[in-house]
Amino acid sequence: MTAEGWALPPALAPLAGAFLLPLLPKKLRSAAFLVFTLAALALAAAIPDGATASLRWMGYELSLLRVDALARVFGLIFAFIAFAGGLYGFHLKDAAQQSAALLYAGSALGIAFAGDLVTLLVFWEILALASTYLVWARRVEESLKAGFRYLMVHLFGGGMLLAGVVLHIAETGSFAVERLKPDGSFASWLMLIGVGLNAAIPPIHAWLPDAYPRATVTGAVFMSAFTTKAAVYVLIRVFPGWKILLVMGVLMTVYGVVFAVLANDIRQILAYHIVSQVGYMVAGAGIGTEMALNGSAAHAYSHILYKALLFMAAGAVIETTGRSKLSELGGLARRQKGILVLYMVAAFSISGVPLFNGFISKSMVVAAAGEAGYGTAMLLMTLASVGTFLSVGLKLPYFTWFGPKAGFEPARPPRNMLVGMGLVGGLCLGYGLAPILLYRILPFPVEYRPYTGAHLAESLELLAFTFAAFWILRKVLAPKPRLLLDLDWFYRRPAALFRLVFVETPAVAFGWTHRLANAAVAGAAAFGRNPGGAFTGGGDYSPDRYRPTTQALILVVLAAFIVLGLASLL
Amino acid sequence: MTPRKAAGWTAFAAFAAAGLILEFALPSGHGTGHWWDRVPAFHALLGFAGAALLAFGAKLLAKLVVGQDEDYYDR
Repeated sequence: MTAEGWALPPALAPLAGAFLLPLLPKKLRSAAFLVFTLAALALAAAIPDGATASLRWMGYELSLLRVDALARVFGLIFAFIAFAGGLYGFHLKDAAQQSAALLYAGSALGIAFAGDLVTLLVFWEILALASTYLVWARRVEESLKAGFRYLMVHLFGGGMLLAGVVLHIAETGSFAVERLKPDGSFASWLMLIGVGLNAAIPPIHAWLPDAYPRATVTGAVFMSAFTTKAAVYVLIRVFPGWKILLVMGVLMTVYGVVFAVLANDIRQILAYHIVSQVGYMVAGAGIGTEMALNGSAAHAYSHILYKALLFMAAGAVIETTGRSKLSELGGLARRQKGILVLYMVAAFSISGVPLFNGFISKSMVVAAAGEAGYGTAMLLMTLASVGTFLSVGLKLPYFTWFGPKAGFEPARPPRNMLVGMGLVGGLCLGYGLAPILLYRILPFPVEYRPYTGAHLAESLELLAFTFAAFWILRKVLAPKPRLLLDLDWFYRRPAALFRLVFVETPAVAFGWTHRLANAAVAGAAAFGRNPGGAFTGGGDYSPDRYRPTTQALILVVLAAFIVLGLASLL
Repeated sequence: MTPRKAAGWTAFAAFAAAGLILEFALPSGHGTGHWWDRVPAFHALLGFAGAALLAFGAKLLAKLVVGQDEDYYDR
């Protein structure tokens, strides 16, 4: 195994951190977390385009690193949000969780800068394992179960990707992470299923709203950023122009908001909005024009910022109240002004309110759909945008911070939580005010202008009248304690049947076989101890039993010899 | 009308007025050339009708299929 080249993959910093952090003194760990993630951010920013790092392994030349504009957009935001998450979780005293988060961030960076499919696949699997731990780390039964379901689903997805990659390499001999033609082979489809699972494309999306609300408060912040967006990166890189992605992406935008309107857990509402928002990015990849791919990458960048901030604010509510259900919250505004303001920055961003970062990126995908002639897609994505403002921008904050008082006093959040949130909120506003900061790092030249009269007029009308509808219908939208059936029903409900068929029945059969084998062995042993017993009616074998008869026989024979001997003498 | 309600409607009126005035002040022929560009205040209609559709549609969906008791999977 030899390593060549001088460039240091940005993933190395958090990966090394994941292993070093538990060895450090307790008091230094949170600060070290920030150092490792800042180092990753510096590496992602400084590494020159075209840098490589290769590794000879088992006769193959693996390319660990590929740096271009697309990889860098994702690399920068992954590293930044890991840093911001570290600030938000600075008060944590849980080395395992901090290590898992670093490992998670490192694997996401590894995917963004992966130079070949094998490297990508390895980081893909680490990503699944590290994120599972962030669900388990909450240490309640519900989270253990949800984490296990999450792991099973992702191992399945990883298996699909592995099968696709192996088949692809066998067919083409190419290890490169490169564009695949939409007329695709079986191998391409397998890879698309594996990647699509992580992008939460229905019907393989239900792991997301199942697991995210049950992760730890800080864990969910990282989860909201890495898994789906790493998959979006691969979709942009490998599957641009696959029309099925346009169809599925548009479906996702609407599907997510419908379920979000119904959800009761605040982080489940946000989780369904990840499905919805990732839909725009998937659709952008499906359209495949330069503008659409730019839009996908830009929206992933914006989304990571505002979605992390939404999960941070929701996490702060859970941390300070111990409650997560909208039906059990209410009237917290007076005590949580800071959290509310920062939440609203993120909520306005995701809703596409002018001056916030969602306005400058979501609209790029929608406009790209319009330019490419997909009018219906454009209209449905705009409808989904209405749903986003309705539930994240209005319903969630109304029933958490306003609305009927729940009648309890929240604790004070750790100061570092607000610092982390403030940093991310500042960027949501910053990019909204100065879109050029984002546009100039996108993979293709940007001609799109978000601040046109028409776009402003449309957005203001849309938002104002969505607000009016919410205000009139807020009783219809009042939260209800309930559980939502999603497509995870197909593996959760039949779980008992599966256990019966694949666990309990084989266990019973095994028990029978076991007893049968034991009985056979015992029988054979008994027979072996006294085979004669089978003919004479049993009883234990005793060496004395046949002795008199044998002695008598020998005496007779001996006597016969004596008689014969004597006779011959005569 | 409570102060909160008044503030809500004021915010609505400001946003709605800004959007509508801007739309009608712009020279015609803007937009992306789809049929809805010819419908005046289309996005206002879409915002209101879309939100109502989603609210009632989701409620119906919950009633018919997806809404269950919280202990559904534990039973």
